[in-house]
Amino acid sequence: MTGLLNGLVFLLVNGLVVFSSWCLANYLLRDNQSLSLRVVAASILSFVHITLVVLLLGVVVRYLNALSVPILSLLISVTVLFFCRVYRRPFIAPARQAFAETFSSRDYFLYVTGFLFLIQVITLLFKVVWLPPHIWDVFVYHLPPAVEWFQQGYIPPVLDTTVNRINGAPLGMTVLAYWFFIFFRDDMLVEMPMLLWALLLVPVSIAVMRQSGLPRAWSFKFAVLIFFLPIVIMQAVTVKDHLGLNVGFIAGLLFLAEFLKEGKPRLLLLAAAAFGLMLGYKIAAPMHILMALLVFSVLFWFRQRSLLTDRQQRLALLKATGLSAVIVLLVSGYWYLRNLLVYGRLHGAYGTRLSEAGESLASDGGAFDKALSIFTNSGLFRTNLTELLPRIFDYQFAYGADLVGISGYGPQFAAFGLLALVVAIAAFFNTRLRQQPIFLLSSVAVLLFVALMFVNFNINSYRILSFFPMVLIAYAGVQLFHSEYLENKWIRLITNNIIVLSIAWSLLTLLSPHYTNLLRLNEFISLDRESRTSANYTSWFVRPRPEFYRLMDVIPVTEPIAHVAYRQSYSVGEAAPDTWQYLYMDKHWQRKTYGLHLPEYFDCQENGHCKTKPVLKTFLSENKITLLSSCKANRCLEIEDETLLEIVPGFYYFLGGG
Amino acid sequence: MRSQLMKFVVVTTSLLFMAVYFFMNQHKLETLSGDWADISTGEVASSVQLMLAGQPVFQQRLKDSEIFDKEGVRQIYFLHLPKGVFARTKAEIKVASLVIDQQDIALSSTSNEAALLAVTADKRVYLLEEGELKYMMTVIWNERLQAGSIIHCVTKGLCDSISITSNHWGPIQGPYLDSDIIPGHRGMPKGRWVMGPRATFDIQSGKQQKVLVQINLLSEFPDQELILRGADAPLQKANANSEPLDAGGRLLYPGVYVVHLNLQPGANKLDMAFSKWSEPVSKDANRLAAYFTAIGLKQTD
Repeated sequence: MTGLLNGLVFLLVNGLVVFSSWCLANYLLRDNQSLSLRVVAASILSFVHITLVVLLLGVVVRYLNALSVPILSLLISVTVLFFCRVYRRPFIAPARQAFAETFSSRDYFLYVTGFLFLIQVITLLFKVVWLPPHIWDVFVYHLPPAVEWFQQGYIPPVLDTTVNRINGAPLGMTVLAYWFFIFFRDDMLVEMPMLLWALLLVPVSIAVMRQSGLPRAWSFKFAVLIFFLPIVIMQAVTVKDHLGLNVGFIAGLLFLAEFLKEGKPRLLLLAAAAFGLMLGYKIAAPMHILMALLVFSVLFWFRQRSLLTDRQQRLALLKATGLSAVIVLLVSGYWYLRNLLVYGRLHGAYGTRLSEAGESLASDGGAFDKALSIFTNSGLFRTNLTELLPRIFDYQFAYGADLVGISGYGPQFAAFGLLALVVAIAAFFNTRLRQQPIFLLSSVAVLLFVALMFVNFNINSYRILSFFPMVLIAYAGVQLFHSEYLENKWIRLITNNIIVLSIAWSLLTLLSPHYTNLLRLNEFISLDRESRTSANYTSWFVRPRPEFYRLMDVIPVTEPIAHVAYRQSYSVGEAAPDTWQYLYMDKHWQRKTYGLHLPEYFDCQENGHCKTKPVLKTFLSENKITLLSSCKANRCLEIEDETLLEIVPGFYYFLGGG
Repeated sequence: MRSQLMKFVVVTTSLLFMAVYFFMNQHKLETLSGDWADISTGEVASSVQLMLAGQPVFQQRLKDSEIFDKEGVRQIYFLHLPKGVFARTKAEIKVASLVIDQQDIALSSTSNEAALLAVTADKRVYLLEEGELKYMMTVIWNERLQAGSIIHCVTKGLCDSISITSNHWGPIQGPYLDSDIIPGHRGMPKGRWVMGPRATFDIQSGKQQKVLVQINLLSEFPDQELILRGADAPLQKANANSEPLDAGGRLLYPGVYVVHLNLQPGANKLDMAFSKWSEPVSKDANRLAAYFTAIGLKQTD
């Protein structure tokens, strides 16, 4: 009964969020007939709505729970609906019309594309609902803050943790995850935000291509092809943030391009909303936006500088710009302000070292300083350039959401993107190509890609470059159409086959779940809901996981667990200096966990053998903790202490607790 | 004409790039087929139902447990029952039973009455009251503590006066489930890998005594031969015709060897030479010769 009620509240609140955002989008795009553009606007505004509700309640009101969230959201929705009631426009009829127009042609490739898209969406939905969160970063810093917010009932500016990213990264995607948790108090939907961002990529891509004149059917096929990028499919079932960053970025560029085309300052507000969201997802986002604004300013000067000559238009533009800044500040400003106020710098605890006592000691520069200094050093660029082709062809490593050593750009980028890149570069020198609305996106994509190659290299770095294939494949579609290639029967046939083949490749090769023991997948899927936890699902990540994680669901959730945490690697062979805090969690985030800063509580040798310090027992006794985990991630310490019984390797029972 | 040529170049290049992509990534199709083979091999979770006087009062799906009893024979499971159900089951234990995958098993109470117990040939299921932790931890700890050796003494008290150590065998491992994430572990019983080509064992004896030693082992090589040095009698091979065990991704041939030893007080050195061993697959790997699953000792004087 409670589940049904929660479901109804979830549907009601989210339905009103979407409906009010739709009305607001219609108000802001009142002169625009593009359905896809309005869908994109409504989606962006829905995300903004959710973000503002959680941040307002968590940070300002400090009353964040299952009651306050729906109430405030309903109030905002009703208010928006009241003010925008005049701009209510039907969705179903135009959507049906667009659907009918798209599928009216006897294009069997279109039907196949649509069918495969449907299958993929169902598959992804199943994975989101049935399979638990399962990515390294998610265990370490994407979800643990949401658990803390839920348990504490507000969003503290700093969390007591050794994971610096928690106190330095903008946690906008965690905010969305919290929203999708709180209605059911269950983590089954926490991966939904990334799936929604992935799905949003379809209307965003359609809008981008339609804006540049590509017919509806081709726009749909290319949009689905972009959706089927392995980089998208792999991340759509995680709680990471790269899809939000990249799709938000393209959405922002789309509205800027529309502004350059139409000259309506209201469009800047939508761009600001999209950019605000992406700023709230990733500390690297400012660089994206700076590049976008740089190119935008140049194109604005060439295309819309007339807006500056008329006083009224200038004033409207100024007002829209000011309001845009306020929107950006409201949606994402908290994270940067927090970092500035608490740590005195924009990137907060990012790049700090911890002292033996666990205090944040010194900065190693952080993302911004590093970015500036690295531009003077071409080493990263050379490394990136050397790795470019092997990475783009994806063959170095297996597919996985962490995109280790691969680009995840799929066969579609090899077939369409690489050639589109040549045209996109040529467009800088061609007046006709520069006139196309998509030029803003293609030029920003190319310039930003090159810029990021100077500042960003790690084995997983292509996640942040997802915008590149997304934009270039759309660009390929537009150029194939405008160059009249698609009028040739054979080229049309080949193009259609490439699209279907690429989609089928992604569908098949990314169907099986990752990071789990597939021999136990049937068992996992058939387990009771309470047992379908991350701890039961995760069988490996770089190395096999310690066996005790599989014990988690038989340990009462009322039992707190203390676990070792340390910013540095503590022994030889440790995969990475992170803590898999989320694996101790039950599905309802009831269990209390305590991170024990290693040097404070243990004397350890390099081989991972440790002795306890007296303060450990005091801490455990005072907090009535009997369970202690010595595993941060894959590797566990061996603790010597007669009051700690080793139940299984890495998991101890404290005789003096409880 | 130029435009036609351009179209041809564009389309051919596009197809070429795509072909390169598929060619370079063909191994992903093998991964895919391997993944689906694994998925289809896997079994669904066991279904467990608690029955009281023929009526179901509690049910749950049970995942394979990686916790084994001290003999390495039975998997250990824990089920937490709601307080009322636990109390009722305890009170009506004579009419209570646990149905695991349609197999009806009678319940008994543990000696301290902290839990109810159902035992099958391969499972031991503890039914606990909701929130109970201490007893569960004690059971696991206790079983692991007692499972710490592959040496078994048939004669009472013999193990107090004898210890066997070696630098040529690995740590005790297993038993592992057939579905273990590490292929080399799958289905392996409890045991210790012994390195080839030669392994030295130190047998510390508290007194002079004659013992019969029985070594149960598994070997990758059906014609594996063991030669013993340092013993008065030769090593004898028994039951040579046992079925091989398909475990750890290979066929392992069981062998049972017996030898009579006349142990002197203090250290007794025993050298074992193997006719075959596997070559190390990496720099850090060892030459594995045999997997000792049990060493049985019996006093004969």
